[in-house]
Amino acid sequence: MNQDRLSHFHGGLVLRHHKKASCEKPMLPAGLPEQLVIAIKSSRGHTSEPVVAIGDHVFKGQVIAEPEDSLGTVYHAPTSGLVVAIEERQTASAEAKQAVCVVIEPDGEDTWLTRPEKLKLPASAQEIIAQISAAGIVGMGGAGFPTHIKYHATQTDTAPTLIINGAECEPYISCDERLMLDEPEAIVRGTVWLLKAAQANRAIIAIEDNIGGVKKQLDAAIKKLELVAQGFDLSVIKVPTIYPTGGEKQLIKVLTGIEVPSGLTPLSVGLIMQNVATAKAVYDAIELRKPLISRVITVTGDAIESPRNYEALIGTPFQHLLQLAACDFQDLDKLIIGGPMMGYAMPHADIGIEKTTNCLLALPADCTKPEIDAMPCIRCGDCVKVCPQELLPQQLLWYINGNDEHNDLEKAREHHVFDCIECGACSWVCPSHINLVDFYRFAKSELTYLDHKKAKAQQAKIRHDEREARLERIKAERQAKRRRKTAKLSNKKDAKAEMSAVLARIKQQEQAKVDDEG
Amino acid sequence: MMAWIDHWVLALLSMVLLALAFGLLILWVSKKFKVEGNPIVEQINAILPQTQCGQCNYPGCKPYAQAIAAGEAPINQCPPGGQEGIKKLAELLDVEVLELNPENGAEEADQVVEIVEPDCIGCTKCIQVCPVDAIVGAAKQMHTVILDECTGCDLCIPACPVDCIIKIPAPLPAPINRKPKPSLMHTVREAQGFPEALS
Repeated sequence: MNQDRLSHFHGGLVLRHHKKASCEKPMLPAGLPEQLVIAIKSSRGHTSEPVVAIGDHVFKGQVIAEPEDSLGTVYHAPTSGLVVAIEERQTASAEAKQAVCVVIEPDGEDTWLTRPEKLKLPASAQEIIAQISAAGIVGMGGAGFPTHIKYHATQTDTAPTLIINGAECEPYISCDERLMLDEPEAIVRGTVWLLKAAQANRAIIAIEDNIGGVKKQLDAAIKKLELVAQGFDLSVIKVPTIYPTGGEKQLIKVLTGIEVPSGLTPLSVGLIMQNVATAKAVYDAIELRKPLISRVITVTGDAIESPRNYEALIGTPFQHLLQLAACDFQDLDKLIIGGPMMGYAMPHADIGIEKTTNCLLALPADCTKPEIDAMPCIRCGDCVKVCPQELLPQQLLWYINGNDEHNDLEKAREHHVFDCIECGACSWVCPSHINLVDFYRFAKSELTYLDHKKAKAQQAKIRHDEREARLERIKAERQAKRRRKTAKLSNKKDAKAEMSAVLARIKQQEQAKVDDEG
Repeated sequence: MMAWIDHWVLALLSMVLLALAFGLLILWVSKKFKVEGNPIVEQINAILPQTQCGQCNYPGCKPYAQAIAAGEAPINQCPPGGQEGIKKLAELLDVEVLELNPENGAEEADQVVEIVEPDCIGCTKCIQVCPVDAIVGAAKQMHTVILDECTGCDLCIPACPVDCIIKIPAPLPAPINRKPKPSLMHTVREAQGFPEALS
């Protein structure tokens, strides 16, 4: 793994970056909006349980929701204020899906929950992991996977290599680049904490080759902290700017030449990948005792007059950020969270940002792709050439949509539809303008649903079979008991003894009754 | 002349012996590798939704599977399995796909039942009919449905003397987010909306 021996992944696209406009100026704090709408569910759908009630006053950094299952996360109040609502609202996720949100009205004081005066830094890997978990840190590159879980698994394995992903390959998004320019030291320090959590000493910060200035900053930070003397091996590696080089599996392929096997995590090949913003969040959590309550977000697009990166509190409504960046609302046609390739269109701007929302893209009508009706697939194979996961997009489409006669979603599974990373490269090159990714998203959700149904049927069968067996057993037991009794009474002596026992019992009861009344 | 007959007898004898040997081999193999039960019944049963609702006119999924295997019942009597289930059965048995028989009921969205708890009188009648033990409760105590175990067979609804069992949409675990299928035309003619007359 060094600069001279990079590999490359299959396919991919060279796209225009559109990043310069938003990345020229340093980031700004976005300030306090009128309301914060915090969705307490992860982007993977795992929900958390609110631990505050409507009308409660909360302090900055106070826990407002606890995870319901092991894949959920903790949520903290981003500022002090009043909880005015806990209700279902649309969230910054695919199709703006409804989820429970905690709505906080800031009091303007921004008072922290009392924090220990003197910092006690964690000593063991366990303590670091516990603090990462308590700070509610999730993967901030987009997947939103709780960070601490990646390290629980490393406790028994050999020391992995850490890859810090600064290769933000989608056009327009520049929040990671800006973060690396503004806070290189925090990122490097966070990386060191992650290394300690993984009980490893080797980390690579991967950046794209079109952002050279960043490398200088990061190298300087690594030198300044004298990490080599402490036994840590950190290097910054530039990778070619090809979309989607920032994808987990793609970046690993480029850096190491290794392909992560289908269905497995990078840990299976001895690697852990983390976004630069996650490393920064870890630094904040451990050295500043600040839970994950804000993130850097790019506000850009052709409908924005002064595109910029903001450090916004989690839950800040899009509206607030758009106003800060002087959005031309007359011109605004499509509001997208994420980039133009993988992002989701939002129905309105009153939705709060989440821990994984890295970009707000406001596009005017002349910028959005003209809505040409999709034409049938001509099986030209252009999509095959660009697919970075080496799938057969046209064949998957055929199985999902091509023939209704047979049940072919299962065939799509056999052709690894679950390995699709939804990068959108196939849709981008399709000459028939087919939005291929939509079909793969559908197939994945439907297959997951069918698996759920199958598992449920299996469970019902087991319960039904066991119930039948139990009823059978009870019936047999009852019959056996009756048979025993009949056999017993067929002996005259036993029958007589039984009779007198019953008579004695009746007599006793009557006596007791008389005594009671007396 | 005699030699010719000798050969003939020898050939016959060897054939008989071979037939006997192979026959014994087959007998031994069929004993040794005997399959318990009818494997096709298990395969059919695996496709059926296991709601045990009895809408197919059989007292459960397995009896219906047995009836299908025996050729006594058509494959279109299972409303919870729906058209998808019929397709799968048709594929397995290599028979024609049929429409769901409306006499058995209509295909509905996934549902489970819930007990309106203030109305429950604790008669245990629903507990006795539930095929998957998904209702808990005791005599004269309030009963409740374990939603994760309920198959939506509705057998408890007629059993309830106070009609306190209602149907609700089946809850899906959070990570499952069903999406509608995107539509795409299959032919250029369809896509461009050519009238039939021109085609």
